[in-house]
Amino acid sequence: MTAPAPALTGKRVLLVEDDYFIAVDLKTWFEEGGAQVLGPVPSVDEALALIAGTAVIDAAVLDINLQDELVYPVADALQARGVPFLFATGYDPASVPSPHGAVALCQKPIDPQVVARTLFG
Amino acid sequence: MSTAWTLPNGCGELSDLVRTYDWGGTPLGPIADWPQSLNFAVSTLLLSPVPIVLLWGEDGIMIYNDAYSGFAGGRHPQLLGSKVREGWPEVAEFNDHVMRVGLAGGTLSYRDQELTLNRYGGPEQVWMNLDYSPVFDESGRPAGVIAIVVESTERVLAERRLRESEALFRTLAQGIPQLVWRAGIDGACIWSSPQWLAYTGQSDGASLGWGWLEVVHPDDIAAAQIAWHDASVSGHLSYEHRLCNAAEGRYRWFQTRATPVRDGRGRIVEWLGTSTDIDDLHQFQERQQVMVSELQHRTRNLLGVVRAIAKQTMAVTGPGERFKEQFNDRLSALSRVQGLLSRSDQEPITLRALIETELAALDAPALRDRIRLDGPVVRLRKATVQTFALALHELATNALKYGALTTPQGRLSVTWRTCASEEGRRLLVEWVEEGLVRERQIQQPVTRGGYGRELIERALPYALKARTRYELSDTALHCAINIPLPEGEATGSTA
Repeated sequence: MTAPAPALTGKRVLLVEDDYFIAVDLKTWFEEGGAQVLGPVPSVDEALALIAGTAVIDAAVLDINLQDELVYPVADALQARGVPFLFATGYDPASVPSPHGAVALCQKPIDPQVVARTLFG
Repeated sequence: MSTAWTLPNGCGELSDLVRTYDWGGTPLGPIADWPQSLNFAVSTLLLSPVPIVLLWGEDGIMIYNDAYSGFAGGRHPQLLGSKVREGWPEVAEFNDHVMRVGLAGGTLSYRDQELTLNRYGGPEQVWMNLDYSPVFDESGRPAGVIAIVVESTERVLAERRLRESEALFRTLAQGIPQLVWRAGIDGACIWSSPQWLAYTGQSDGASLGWGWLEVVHPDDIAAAQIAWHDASVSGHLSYEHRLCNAAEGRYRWFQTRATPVRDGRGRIVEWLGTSTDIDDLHQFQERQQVMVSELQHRTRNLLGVVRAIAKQTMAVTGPGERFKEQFNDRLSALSRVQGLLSRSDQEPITLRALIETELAALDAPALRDRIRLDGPVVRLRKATVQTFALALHELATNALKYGALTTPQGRLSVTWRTCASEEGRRLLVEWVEEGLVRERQIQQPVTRGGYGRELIERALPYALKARTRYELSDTALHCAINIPLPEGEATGSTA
């Protein structure tokens, strides 16, 4: 038995994911769990703008590779605000340069329950 | 005078043989009658450890010592007392010359003189150091020739083998593509092949000692020093490093290996090494690593996309036949675009290729004359291709099932162009279906549009930063897609 996912109700979760289909999937799942989704947004610029314009963010899920750019500036901004987040990536963890070494890394396709437990468990 | 002289006693075999030989039967006459000059010459040569033969008189009657008997081999002891011309018939002419010169008071000297002798029943090639000088009789006239005969065959052959072996080594060392070198036990270079000099541009001598380190990449010098240190313990040298190529003005990767040369006691006296250019291999490996990593990324991402599409399809169709049909169609479209992506390094993906791939998949060749495609060559960024392909797939499927391709008068035209704007270069695509039948649209109010419309209106703006328009009237569908293009992307003429 896997432990039930912690309640997402009322959590404000930022989603940064460049693939439309995966972004919609994640959004649907978080909303079904009762969370309020910020985004999803597909690029660093849009993510930074959203962070700057949002007072409360409880957590974030960041795809590392956004088409031709890396998501790390977004991670820095979240870290500066003390917002917990995790990375989702299709790359092998060993090949991901991580200036945010301690941050959890989920392999795609990500399991929403694992994401919820990692962020709020 | 003759009785006063005695031959040395107990000085060896020849001393006894000479004393007991019947000289009366030779032009020399009995030993007791020999002149003082002859006695002196014979006793001197008998005592010498160097091979010496005395050729006395016009005929060159041979008297020699123990050392010479060893040289004479099977010809001894018959040689003693014989005429030199008969004793060595195979070199008679050579000896005739010696006798002529010697008896005229001259000397001769040969170094490594090559002769063919018959000492052991067959001809054999020998080399000798030969020194001839005259022996004078009591009246001061040359009466014989004394010859010091030192065979040098072994040394000559050894030197020849050494030269051949050196030539072979040089041919090998200079002919193979590797850079070849010799180094002392500590790694100090003592010789480097012409290839080394040609590759590094170092002058002959500049590579010697520690000069070779000057062309090693600074970051690899520590590795080289560690490798040399370890080699003195393990007896094996192998490491990779970069070497600066003079012609290209850049560093290339090399694999260096060396084998120790040991002395009789097994101690390393020097190293013989090669450095092999593995730069192409290195680059290939790096490219392959990137490709494997990209492939893994694409595969994992694709699984996420498949899961999302399954869920989104199910949300519209519910479980059952319609789900199976639509999900399979979308999987096929994903599969086709993976095919294009996997070949994209050799064959960049163009907009036309993407559209044609989707239309071809409709499997309706009869429709070709009702479809018009027109636009320049536009290459698409790989990152945008998958979403774009799925949107085009939905448009094409809808056209076939509910749109312009369902009626004989229906027409589909897809045209595109690029333009420069204040926001940079953009691609404008227009998908226009005309001659639609209103009834069909009414029968399928939800499906017409549906997922395709969502992808056009939401997925393309999200993933491609596109601006789109989707207008469905009673008789026509007008879909416009405006996408930013990367600066400097090559576009060609109409294709």
